[in-house]
Amino acid sequence: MRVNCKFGIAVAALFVCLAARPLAAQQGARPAPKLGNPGTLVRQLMRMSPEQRERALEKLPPQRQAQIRERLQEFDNLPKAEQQRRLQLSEHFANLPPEKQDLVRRQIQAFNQLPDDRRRVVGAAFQRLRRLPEAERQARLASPQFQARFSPTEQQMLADLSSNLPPPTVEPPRP
Amino acid sequence: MICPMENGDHAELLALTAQQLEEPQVVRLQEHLGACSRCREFVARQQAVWQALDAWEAPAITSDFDRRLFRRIEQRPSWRDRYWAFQHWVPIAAAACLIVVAGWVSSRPARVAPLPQTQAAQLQSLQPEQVEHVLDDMQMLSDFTKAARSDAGEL
Repeated sequence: MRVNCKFGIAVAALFVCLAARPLAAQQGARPAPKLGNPGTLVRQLMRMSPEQRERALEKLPPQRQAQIRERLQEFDNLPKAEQQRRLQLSEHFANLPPEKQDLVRRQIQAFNQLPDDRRRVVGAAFQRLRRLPEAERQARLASPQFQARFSPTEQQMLADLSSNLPPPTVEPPRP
Repeated sequence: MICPMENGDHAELLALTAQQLEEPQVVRLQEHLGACSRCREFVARQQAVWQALDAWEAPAITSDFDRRLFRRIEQRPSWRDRYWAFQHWVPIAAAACLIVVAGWVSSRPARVAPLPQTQAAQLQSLQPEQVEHVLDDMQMLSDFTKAARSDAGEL
């Protein structure tokens, strides 16, 4: 009798485990991302396991499947931590309004065109500014020392980039 | 004579210590032992083993040994008893198997949920250039933040 009871408990445990799986999968799943932006879909493809991705892509025309796979491979080849870092940056960027995204793109291009010595100074200042809370950052940007140290173009660049890109805490530690 | 130790054939030396050789072989080996320290040492060790075995005396059995032995033989469970005992363990073994299976099943990654219908439809129109565009943005942002971290001496 006692043995049958144990057997019954084991069977019940098995069914509870099996029944709990779909629920856990639902609970563990990310909330459905915002639609309307192909970038969201691309990032979702990037996060998928190879099997998931194949299943998602299988309905596309073979040539397009191959082209998309080839481009995603570029991302897959990065180390996991770097993949995570890029996804987080990209997600933050994608949440900006389109005009802000364009602004960031333009300012990064402008940053890349700075002379090497200025680029180093501006890069270091950006890194410090993006760590600051909003009010403190604004105070720093408005301070006379800051304005004396950077040209108006550089000041604008630092203001635009530091207010539109995430603080470094969002980035996971590098391996 | 070829040295048995050098030849790797110890059988003759073992037979000598077990006193299983004929007289001419014993004489021939004894002559060799007089000249070969390795064989002499081997034979001495083997003789020590034999002496130890000879010195060992098995403890005497108790007077009721046979009676107890036969009683135990009689008490051996019958096939029927074994069958019932087996039946007793079957549910426990089955329960253990089920628990293992349940653990395995629950630890496997959950089956991939298909994309929601709206996203599946959106995927149909996804172009390789759009993937490239996202990758380009990622690269740009990554390069810029890395450069800034490097400039700040954090890399």
